Amino acid sequence: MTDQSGASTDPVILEWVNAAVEGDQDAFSELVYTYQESVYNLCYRLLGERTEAEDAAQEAFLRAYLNLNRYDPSRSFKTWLLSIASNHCIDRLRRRRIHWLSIDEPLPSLSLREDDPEPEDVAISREQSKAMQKLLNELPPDYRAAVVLRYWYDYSYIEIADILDTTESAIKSRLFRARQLLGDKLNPKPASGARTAPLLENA
Amino acid sequence: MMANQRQRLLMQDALDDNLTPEAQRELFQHLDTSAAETAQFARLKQVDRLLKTAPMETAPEGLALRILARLSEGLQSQKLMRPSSLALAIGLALVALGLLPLLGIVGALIINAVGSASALKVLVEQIVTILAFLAQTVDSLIESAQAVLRSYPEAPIAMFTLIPAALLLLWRAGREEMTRS
Repeated sequence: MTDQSGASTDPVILEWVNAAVEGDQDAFSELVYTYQESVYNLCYRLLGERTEAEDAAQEAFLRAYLNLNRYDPSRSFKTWLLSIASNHCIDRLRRRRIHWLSIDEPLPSLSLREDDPEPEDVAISREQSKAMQKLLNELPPDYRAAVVLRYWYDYSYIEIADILDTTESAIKSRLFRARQLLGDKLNPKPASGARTAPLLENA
Repeated sequence: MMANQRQRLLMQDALDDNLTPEAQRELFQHLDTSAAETAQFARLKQVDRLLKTAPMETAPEGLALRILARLSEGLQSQKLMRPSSLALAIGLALVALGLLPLLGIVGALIINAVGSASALKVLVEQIVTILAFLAQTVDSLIESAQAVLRSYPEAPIAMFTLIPAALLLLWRAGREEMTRS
């Protein structure tokens, strides 16, 4: 069996899952220790706030434990767990009833240089990461989930569609719009004199 | 000028490193004709680069322990809920069992009463007798309470003090019993 992110699923994980289904809490502890980082990062990137991310991560594990008997071993356990966490976080975000950014809205300026050098300067990189999280926080929940699952977990469009219970084309569209929104926020004015060839060097 | 569907797809594929050489050439040629889309693609690439280098957020220390504590707390409360639901079900079953003979008698009396006027009279008399007995019992209880009150004026205060204490003791005993089970 292969993990959705491409790595093989350790049979030990499945053994722990089976034992946890039988009520073995120690086996479930192993799963918690193994996946706490992934689940927490997902919750943090989606919710943008540490305390709430921790609470959501706890809730996700609790839900996973209570629904272990519904887990299909033919799927990746990590994907299943992240699916629970992301749907829970999206629900939380929707309950906040914040006015999210729309593709048609005028975008405020947040200036970062277009021709950033490679990440040699750690301070700049950190600042950019913070800025990126701030921008992520303004994306609608569905867009944000697609971006996080794509960039932090390296899932394919089909896998993201499966996790978020939607279609591959919807995910493609969400990702393009999300990137567009983020790009416009990062650098609202078109770069002058930008040439085509250098931009495609890494494409 | 916004990118059309085809250009969007090409840009998306370029970001995902999925462009064939032909598609790449097509995108090149298109971007050469449009400064606005060149700028848009530059912004998309910038976002892509930033997202690709964004770090994983480290879980706070002790998160796993807090998750496990919350889990066992949740399971414990589920266990506590189970015996109390069981006790309630048993209690209701006992009450129903106790009421069965009474219901049987009342049912038989009603069936007899429907058939004869004298039986109906007996039924009414019996109901009145039961009600009178109940009223008398309540009356004597009130009288006894009044007598106690006259003899010991401090009794009501003592009772009101003892009730919460007794309830607390009962609750603790019940909880200990459930924890042991």
